[in-house]
Amino acid sequence: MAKKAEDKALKMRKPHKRRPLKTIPMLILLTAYQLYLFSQLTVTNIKELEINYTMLVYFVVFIAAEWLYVILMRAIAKRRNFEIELIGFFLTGIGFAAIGSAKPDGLLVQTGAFLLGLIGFIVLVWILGDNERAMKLRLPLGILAILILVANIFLGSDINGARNWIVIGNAISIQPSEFVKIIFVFVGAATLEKLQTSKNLYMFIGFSAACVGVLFILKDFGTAVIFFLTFLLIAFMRSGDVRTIALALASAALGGTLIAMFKTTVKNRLATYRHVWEPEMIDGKGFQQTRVLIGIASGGLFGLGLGKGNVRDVIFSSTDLIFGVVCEELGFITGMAILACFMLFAVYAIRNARTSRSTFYSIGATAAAGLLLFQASINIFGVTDVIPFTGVTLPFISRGGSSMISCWALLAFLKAGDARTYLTTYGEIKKK
Amino acid sequence: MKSASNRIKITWVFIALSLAGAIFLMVSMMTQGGKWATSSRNAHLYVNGTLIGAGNITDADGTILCSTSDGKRTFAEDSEVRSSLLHVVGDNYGFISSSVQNQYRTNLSGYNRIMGVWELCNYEQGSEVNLTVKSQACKTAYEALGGRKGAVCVYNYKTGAVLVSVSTPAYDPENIPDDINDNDAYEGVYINRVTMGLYPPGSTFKVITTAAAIDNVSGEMSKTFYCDGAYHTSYGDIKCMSEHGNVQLKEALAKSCNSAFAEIANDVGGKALQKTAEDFGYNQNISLGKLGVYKSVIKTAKDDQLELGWAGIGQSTTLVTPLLQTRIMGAIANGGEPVEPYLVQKVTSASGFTKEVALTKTGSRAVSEETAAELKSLLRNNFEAQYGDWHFSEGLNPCGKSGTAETEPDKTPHAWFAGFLDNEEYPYAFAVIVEEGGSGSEVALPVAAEVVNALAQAE
Repeated sequence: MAKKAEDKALKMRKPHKRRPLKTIPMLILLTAYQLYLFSQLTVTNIKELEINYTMLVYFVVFIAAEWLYVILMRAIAKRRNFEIELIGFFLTGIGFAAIGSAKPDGLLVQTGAFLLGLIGFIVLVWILGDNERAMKLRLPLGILAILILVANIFLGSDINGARNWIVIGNAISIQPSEFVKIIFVFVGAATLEKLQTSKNLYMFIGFSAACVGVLFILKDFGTAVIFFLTFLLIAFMRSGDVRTIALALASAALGGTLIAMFKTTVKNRLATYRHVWEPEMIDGKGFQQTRVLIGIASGGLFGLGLGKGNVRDVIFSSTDLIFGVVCEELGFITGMAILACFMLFAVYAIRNARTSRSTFYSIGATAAAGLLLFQASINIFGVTDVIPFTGVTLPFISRGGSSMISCWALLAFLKAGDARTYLTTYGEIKKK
Repeated sequence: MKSASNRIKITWVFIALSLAGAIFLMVSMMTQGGKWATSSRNAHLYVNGTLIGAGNITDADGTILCSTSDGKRTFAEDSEVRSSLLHVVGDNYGFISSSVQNQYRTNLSGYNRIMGVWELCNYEQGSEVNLTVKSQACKTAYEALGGRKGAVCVYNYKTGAVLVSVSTPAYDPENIPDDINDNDAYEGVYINRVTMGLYPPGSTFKVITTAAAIDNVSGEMSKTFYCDGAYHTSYGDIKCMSEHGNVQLKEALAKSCNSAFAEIANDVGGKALQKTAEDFGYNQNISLGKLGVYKSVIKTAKDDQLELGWAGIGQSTTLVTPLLQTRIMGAIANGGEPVEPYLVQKVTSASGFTKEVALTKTGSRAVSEETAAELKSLLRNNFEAQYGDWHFSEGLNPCGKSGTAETEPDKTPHAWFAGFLDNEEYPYAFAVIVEEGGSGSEVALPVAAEVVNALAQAE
């Protein structure tokens, strides 16, 4: 029954004949770039060939994983298009380089998280391949998300002013809100797929409110903003009839609460905004922004080289301020290329929307790309004082295991939104 | 769900917003990057508040005035050279805010919009800044001022290169005196009097009054004025230094007769007098590269005979900087067109690439060529008839006007001398002020002559 529906869908929407980018040459180019970056960190002394072997291992594992993934997916899943993954690799690689400069100790977790993220990506793309399977998971996942967040309230530890961490033992600390992002996009898209009943819609509104509400309690202002923006995006894609009003009202209520709950934070941030260079701010509330701006100007367009910057010595350099490290050491051009990648994700989601197998896929892809673009923009423009500063990390680049896994999982929605992902496999089955 | 896939296009709005942010950031970086990079918080450039990441500053002959070695910023070898150029070169603590070290720190740091501070990191040295000043002549000027407060400025009126710019009191930036903030001798020490000192011009202003008379009142040159020791108005008198009897303008200028010039100012009228002064640079923004120059001010009274008389002899509310005095003399020497003064000859990157080079720029015409020629012969006559050429080396052909500017009733007046050499080989225009020095021709003129002689000799 399901298969027939799919076949029919395939006939109805034929994907554009777009030539995929030649993967292998692109991957070789990417690897060459990464070797160039990583060699700056591993070869500590060229004349005496001193090599940092620990770092070398992480970088070798990273590059090997890229190749293994592409080769396996070509052989097993018969995929030919890898644009999304290549951009993901590009971003992750720059992140590795910047972390290698700012906080080399963080690379172990980063490497592990990357591998987990890549596996998560493969699994999620497979799950999303079957519409029915995905729909069945919707409710349990929604409940799981709320449970995770509630658990976070009770088990969470305060790190840097926000309560958004759960520490297991002494070694592992995870950030549950990162994983909720994945479920948020999933539930949002899945609810709208079957929106014939308004019950579904109200459930999504309730779910969003619960998520943002818990984030209030966790004092995770940045993530709350990102959730709210993503909610607005999904809500807009859904709207078009009477229910729009409900959504608009819910939006207003959420936005209002957001500001009310964070009154002092918002007031502080606004007081600093565009005043970071003033004498009482420059070493106080404007400390991080001014250091990033100094780093950007010092680095120029092409950067001073890895390990030669000063932003890396500033607190939070490997997380919130990583954009400053990248710009100072790899140049403003690299910084802008990163932002361009997130825009590309969004463009990719829009372009594939028409040929997606159903609105579940197109909305999922758009929501995931939107979430990533919001987060990247809030980070980049926040640390550069273009908008008020909000402590969020830069997806794929900032240090953080939970974040790395969640970023790759979100990419799965983009991948699933591209009709070509499942085309080859199904196409061949059909022929046989 | 066709409508849903249509509404997905809302995402373009977010992409556009991000793009707008990126463009805003790029523009900010291009326009304000220099300010960000040279912030005292930038550890690439500053260690313990000292600008260590800066290139050399040299004088016109290549003498190093400031350089960085072993993470320390050091100045010229000669202590008196250091003191004489304190206000031009600057100090290590940013007290001399209008100095090259402070105002050109973006250039010195080797920062540029494309490469950031890469050059500094790679060569461990910023860009070199070559100044137009001659350090030995500056030292001569410093010595000639002999501990008195004042300023000396000399520039080449054909190219615009400032050769001497000395302001006193000064101190040795490598041996900062302990009593600098308490001792009256250091009053206003952080101010560069050449560009920021505003003084009444006194009799040097008679040159402007003369220019206004030539251009506005026909027959003024042949008019006879009678001086009985004062200029009389119904509101009060303007005293003259002596009783000159019957004088014409030429003689009145050489003898600096107040009676005559108070009357000339009234013949010219307040409006025309102010216009001529403004043509010469009063009430205008005069620039010296990135160094701040205060605006010289004039505001002549409309119908007040007495006030206008005072204005005509430079004793009203008029105030002028030594730099503008020099530029006024340069304009007359250069046929009525002033060449804009500059202090930075060249900026060269550590890799040898010339980043900036000074160009001779002519400002808007002050007076016609004929008027300039007439003024020149009058100023030359001052030396022939009054001061005598003996102050200067032979053949230099000095022209100029002294001034003795009254400030407060019980204080000694400021001594001024402003002039130029009518000489193709040494096209120097100059101005000297000695605060509370007394007579301009007796006190300021010898200082000017000594500096200009030293400059001509060194050439």
